[in-house]
Amino acid sequence: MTINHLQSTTALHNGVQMPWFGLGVFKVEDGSEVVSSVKAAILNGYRSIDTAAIYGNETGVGQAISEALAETGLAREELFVTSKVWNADLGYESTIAAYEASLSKLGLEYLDLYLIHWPVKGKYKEAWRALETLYKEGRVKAIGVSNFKFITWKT
Amino acid sequence: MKDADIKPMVNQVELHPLLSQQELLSFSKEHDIQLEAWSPLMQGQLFDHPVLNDIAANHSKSVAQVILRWDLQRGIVTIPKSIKEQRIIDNANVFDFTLTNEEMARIDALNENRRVGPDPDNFDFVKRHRSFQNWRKGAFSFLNKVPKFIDCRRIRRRASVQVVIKAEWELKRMPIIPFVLLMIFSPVALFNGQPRRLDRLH
Repeated sequence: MTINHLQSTTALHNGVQMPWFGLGVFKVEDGSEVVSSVKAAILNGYRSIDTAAIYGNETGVGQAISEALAETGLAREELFVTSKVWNADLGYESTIAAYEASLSKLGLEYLDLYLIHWPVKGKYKEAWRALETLYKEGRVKAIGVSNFKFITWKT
Repeated sequence: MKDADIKPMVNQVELHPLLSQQELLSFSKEHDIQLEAWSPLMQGQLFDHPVLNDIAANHSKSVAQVILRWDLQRGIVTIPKSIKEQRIIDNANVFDFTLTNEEMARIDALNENRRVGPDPDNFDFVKRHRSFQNWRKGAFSFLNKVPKFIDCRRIRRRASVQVVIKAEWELKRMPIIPFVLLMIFSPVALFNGQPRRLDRLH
């Protein structure tokens, strides 16, 4: 594990490389505020951006990404973009629909990481099944959770 | 998630020096799940911390840089938020120094299991959602409570401080209205009633 620059990555258990360092945009307003901060980050060497459907700023994040890619000549594959499915959308069909909605707001073909935002009892299992489907179909590079204290899975 | 076929690759949790998540970190490493920190700087609440300032001074670094470096040296992905370009640059300037084992231990020892966000074991997501929406409307969220007969559209369109103050004042003034009416009309009523009452007495 060598972490010696801003673009250093960790290998997730499926082999996907995730930058150790990224920009979070919780509480950053959609529009010029989020566009300028995400662009500033990418232009200054950041390669990972973390947003969520509930942050309400995916449109601005998407605009910033497309502008930053154009200005830097970076390829989409060189960025690592994370978003999260909100509690109200946890369910098999609704989570898949939420993923599509996030993609369209972000203007992206795929996400590098898609997370279940909160472990809402009785709801997150169906959402996880949806994430597994998205992952198996190759529509998302990696899947995960957020705010989970314990994680169990079939072995 | 006992039925899960695929093990999650990442778990993103609230994590900062006052909530070091040591147990979850050990579990995550053991099972090859990457732990990721949200609110790594505890929303700015740690910048005056004496221990962190002391360590920062040792390296001529900021408290934010020390905390983010602590994340990386523990093997935690970190995603600090900033909207200022210089801060965004400074936050990422953590690849040219190393915290000693002793410094790492000093930061580890600050843990108080203290959260700034909701506890995953005990969160009401409907309430959370609502408070989140109110938060997004920011300081003007109280305008939703303004009764309909005040022109909300006008207030929202010109949501300047002055208008907000005016709206607040109008809200506060409202309970006074019946008293004002009473004060205006009661002497009239009394005065009008006086002769009749006298008449009745006689």
